[in-house]
Amino acid sequence: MSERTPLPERRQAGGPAVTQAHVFSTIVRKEILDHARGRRFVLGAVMTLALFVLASIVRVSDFRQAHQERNLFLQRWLPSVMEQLERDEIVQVENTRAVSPLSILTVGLEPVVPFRFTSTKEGLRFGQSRSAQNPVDALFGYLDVTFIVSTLLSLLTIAFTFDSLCGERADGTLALMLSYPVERRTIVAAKIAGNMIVTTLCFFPAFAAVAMIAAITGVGTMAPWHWLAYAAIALLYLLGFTAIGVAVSSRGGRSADSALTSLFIWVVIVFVTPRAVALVVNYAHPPIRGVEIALREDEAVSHLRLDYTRRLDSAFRLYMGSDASSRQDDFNKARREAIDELRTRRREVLARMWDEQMIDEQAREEWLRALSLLSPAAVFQQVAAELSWTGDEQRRHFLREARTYDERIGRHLAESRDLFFSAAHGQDGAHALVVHDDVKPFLIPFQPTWALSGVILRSALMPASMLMVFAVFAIAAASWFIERLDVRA
Amino acid sequence: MNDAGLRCESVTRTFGDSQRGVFDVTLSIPKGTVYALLGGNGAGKTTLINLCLGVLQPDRGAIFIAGFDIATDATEAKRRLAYVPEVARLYAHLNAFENIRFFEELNGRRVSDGEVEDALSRLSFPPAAMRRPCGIYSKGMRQKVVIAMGLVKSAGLFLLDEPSSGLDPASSRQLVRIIKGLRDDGRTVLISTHESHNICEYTDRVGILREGRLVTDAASSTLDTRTIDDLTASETTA
Repeated sequence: MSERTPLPERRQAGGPAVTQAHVFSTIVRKEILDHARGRRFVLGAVMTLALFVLASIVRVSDFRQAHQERNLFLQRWLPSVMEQLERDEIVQVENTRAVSPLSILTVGLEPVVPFRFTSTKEGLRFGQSRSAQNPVDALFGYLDVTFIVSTLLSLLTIAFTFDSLCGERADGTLALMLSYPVERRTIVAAKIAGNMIVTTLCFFPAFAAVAMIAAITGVGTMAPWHWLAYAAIALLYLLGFTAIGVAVSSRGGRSADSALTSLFIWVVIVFVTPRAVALVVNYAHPPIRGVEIALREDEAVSHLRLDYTRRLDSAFRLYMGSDASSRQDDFNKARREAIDELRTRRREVLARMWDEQMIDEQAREEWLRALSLLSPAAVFQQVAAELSWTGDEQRRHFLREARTYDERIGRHLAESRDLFFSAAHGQDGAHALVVHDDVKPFLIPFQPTWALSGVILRSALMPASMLMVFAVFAIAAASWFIERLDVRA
Repeated sequence: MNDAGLRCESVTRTFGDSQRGVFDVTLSIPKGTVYALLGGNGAGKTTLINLCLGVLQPDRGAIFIAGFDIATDATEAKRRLAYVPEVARLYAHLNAFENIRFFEELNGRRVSDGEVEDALSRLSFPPAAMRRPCGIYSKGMRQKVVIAMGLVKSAGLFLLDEPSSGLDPASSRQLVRIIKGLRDDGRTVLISTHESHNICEYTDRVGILREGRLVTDAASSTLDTRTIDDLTASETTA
């Protein structure tokens, strides 16, 4: 121009129609390319991969250990029960549950759900749960994929987005961009989408590595749709944080202020709210203490057993005082009737108590679920646990199964031996009668199953919807802020 | 009046205590005209530019760019204007080609390297710097890149906000040549500046803003630098 060279022939001003969809895809593409060139993305991707792999190794090793413990236990189970029967000891049938292979994703309630349970004549007794057995868990408090997603990946999305708009505003490129046919909402949507794709690029390779480790180490990648649903929920959760980062950045100000505000919100969502929710629920609805339940059970059952013992005692006296040829049949009949009645009444009493306990636990869970809706991190952890079969649904499923087993099998084994003894009758001293029931058909160890996927899906639907609401709210906030942003640097 | 490159009709925009802003500004800049908007600090020049860009919405009045209302037909209006901010920072990690290509894509068009190179060459942009990141460019070079964006965009209206501030004399002379070239090409140029030196040499009309009001709107040929200085000085000291 300075050399007075002719300018290019001017096109018709305007040209092809500009759609916001085209603008959107242009900004998204640039956002991805910018991240791909930057250090934050590389660092985030490498860190995510490394931590996912570390968590997988820890969880796989823990799962295999639990699996091994259970196998060893099962090998000893039948001989142990037979030994007790042969020695005429009071039979206590101990059993153990399996650990979910998907605990590689979420440990969830694994550390609090009893690993063993015992059927006794007095009722069902739940044992201790399995505790952390490796140094990494001791350091991090059960390191799993869900922990990494809910804390570190959410922080990573904040790191990706905190200066996405305030940085452009400070650089003057936002004002330049708005001198083009670009709507502000399109910029926000594109920033969120672009950063979300970048987050997904960090998440998916690491997540695929977890699946590979599970497959290679023999843990098995059961229920592929659970894995997919898990990935979808994790990304939905991270979408909320991406939108929060962009929303905070849309308020303008300096990048440092934006970083601090985003960090503050992250701390509140990830650390403060879940703990506050737990505190409120514990205060409003304290958990039922195991000892208290056991005492109540003992009291109810001991009343029933007292009646039962009296009836057996009187039957045994009749047996001892009778010379009739049918005295054995009469005794067996009386004993059978007493056992049947004991079982029926105990079933009724225990069922009532368990129902009460279940109702109480459910009320507490409902409190927890309702208040957790205030905390996206708690909601995500809940859904993640359900999808990994380490959540409330699976815990309830296990408790129901254990009780069914106890009623159908454990109780038969525990009551298969009765020793009757009398020193009051006859001149030839004490008389004893041992009654052996045939329990061979019941000699089956506990075989746990998994809660139905349909049930889990239903229970995950509401929290997943809340994560959606969280993301939509954050996106709406970002749109609201950008519309009111003074773009002048 | 539809041929006007830029038309402001009774535009008012106030801030805070309603003492600051622009008040009832009416002006019309025909196509192919270079218009200098002069005024001291806080006179409302940048506010008027931001209103023309649609970044700010007027409380009253309307602004038309090539006949398109910036408030109701922003897409068409924005496709016809090029904005050169006072500090054109661009994307520091992208080179001139990438910056221009990105912004032109926002305009709905993919441009070839040849087209970009052509536009930059016409602004005497050093060829060796074209492929280097914009972060290392001088202010003048960044300004040229933004003007090249307008050329590639085929914008009919160029809005230059304080274009000469911070430029060395050689770059300022080059900028004047570029502005003249834009006029020769039939484009409309609105320059917001507080520097009156030689302004009449390369502009067709001059408007003076004082406390948000357009107090003078006259042909450059009818004004001399001294008169402008007097008007601006009285505004500055007011």
